[in-house]
Amino acid sequence: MSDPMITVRDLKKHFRVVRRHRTAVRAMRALLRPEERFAERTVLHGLDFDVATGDRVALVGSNGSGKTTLLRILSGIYRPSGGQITLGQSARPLFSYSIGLAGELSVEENVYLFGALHEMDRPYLDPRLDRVIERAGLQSHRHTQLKQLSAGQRQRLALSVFFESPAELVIFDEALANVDQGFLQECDRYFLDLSDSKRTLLLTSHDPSLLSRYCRTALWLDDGRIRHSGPVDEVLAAYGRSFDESQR
Amino acid sequence: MARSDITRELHARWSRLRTPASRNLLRELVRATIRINDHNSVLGAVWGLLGPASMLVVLYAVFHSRFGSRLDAYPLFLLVGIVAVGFFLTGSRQLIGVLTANRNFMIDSTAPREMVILSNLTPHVYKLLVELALCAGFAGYYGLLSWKTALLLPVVTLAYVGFVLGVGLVLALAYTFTSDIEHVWVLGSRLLYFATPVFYELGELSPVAAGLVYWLNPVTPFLLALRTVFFDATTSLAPVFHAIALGPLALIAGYFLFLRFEAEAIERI
Repeated sequence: MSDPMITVRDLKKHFRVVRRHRTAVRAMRALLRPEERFAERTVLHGLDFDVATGDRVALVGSNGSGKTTLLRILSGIYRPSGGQITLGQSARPLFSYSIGLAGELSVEENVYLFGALHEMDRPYLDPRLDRVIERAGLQSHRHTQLKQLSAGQRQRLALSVFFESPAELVIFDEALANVDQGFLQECDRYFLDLSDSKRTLLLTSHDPSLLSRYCRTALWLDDGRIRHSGPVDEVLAAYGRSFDESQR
Repeated sequence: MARSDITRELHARWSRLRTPASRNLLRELVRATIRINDHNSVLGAVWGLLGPASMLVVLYAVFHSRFGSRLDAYPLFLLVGIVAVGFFLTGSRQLIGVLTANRNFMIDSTAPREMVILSNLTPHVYKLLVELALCAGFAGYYGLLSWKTALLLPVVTLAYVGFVLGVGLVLALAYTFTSDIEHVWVLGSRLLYFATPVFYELGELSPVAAGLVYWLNPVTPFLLALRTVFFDATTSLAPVFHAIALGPLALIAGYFLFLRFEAEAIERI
């Protein structure tokens, strides 16, 4: 096995959920008696796993199983409540394609803005600008305000910019949902290039065909615990069977 | 978070904020914010000045005979007050909701949150600079501006921006814990034009009232410092030093609290 890109040991995450609407008086009371105002909700219960450098890992699980929380912790957005995480490189996640896009600005200006959000500056993007816009299929909309494009076109633009990121550890959280067939070919090309490189991928999706096409291994999260891990088709099959069993 | 953790966090943040990627992000966010806010056009800037101008006309009409008869440059006196209080109100108002309004950015992006907060304040800083340039024009017209005191203007302005940013960070954090902070802010902001010497001089108040307005209202030293600059009042430099000390202090305290409670706040929005 090659060097691990991600090592996670006994990772825990609790959230303090406010029981009632937050007001100044309740906030003051909460300082004195926190246990009465907050409920502790455990989202991740001591996870242990490794991801090898260059691996492409699918993260599956039903809604609320802790996938996004885990990815936010790996990205450094949330702090873990316990345990240890070691990353070979800092993660470059794409959780939502709407962040960092401004409807009032043109497609071209949005390439620079969205690129900046993902640590790509103008000198890096300038030689790639035509390719980014062409891949998104927006050549004739270069100077169009983004708000005049459809949601699908905006998603294509965001993904097209993100595909230029040179990050060694990339994370997609449901970012490929609702991609049209035409752009799916571009996605195929990107993920194929990714698999030829030593870059590491973490991908969540509710579409098993996407996961089995782009990933090699998988982790199945169930209520904040790892229920199964291994080759992607094996984990997806087990995950699929769990629905059949629950319906019986 | 222990003190050593805060120091480590501060060091890590500072290293990250200094990276070319962070500076580039701030540049792009500021560029986008200014374009979106119409401030990149002359007409956009003019629209932004209409508010203070109409306020100036109203306050001049109402208070000139009562408070302004002894001052030749009463319009400038009023304008500096309106600009100073206006920046505090609009800037802090913007920052109260900055974490919640940019929720997706805060929880779905690894970009430094400071950059989003700074870019949200940028249009207000831009407007402040335009308005201060207008004040300088007025002061020149009245023959009050001198190079000696004008040199203080960038320092006082920077301190004031730091102060508003520091206060804004605290308000933004507080808003994630208790939403009615906004109601308190609205109430306070209504009183601020009266509790700050916008249309009157401190000397016209009783010593006790003047002391309260000066020491309990942190906007007052900044307003008086700006008046010192535009009225070439080198005899009263105390508010200038007060403002120059208060701005960085508020920013440091605000940022310290932000680092301390940021993680909890982000999980609540």
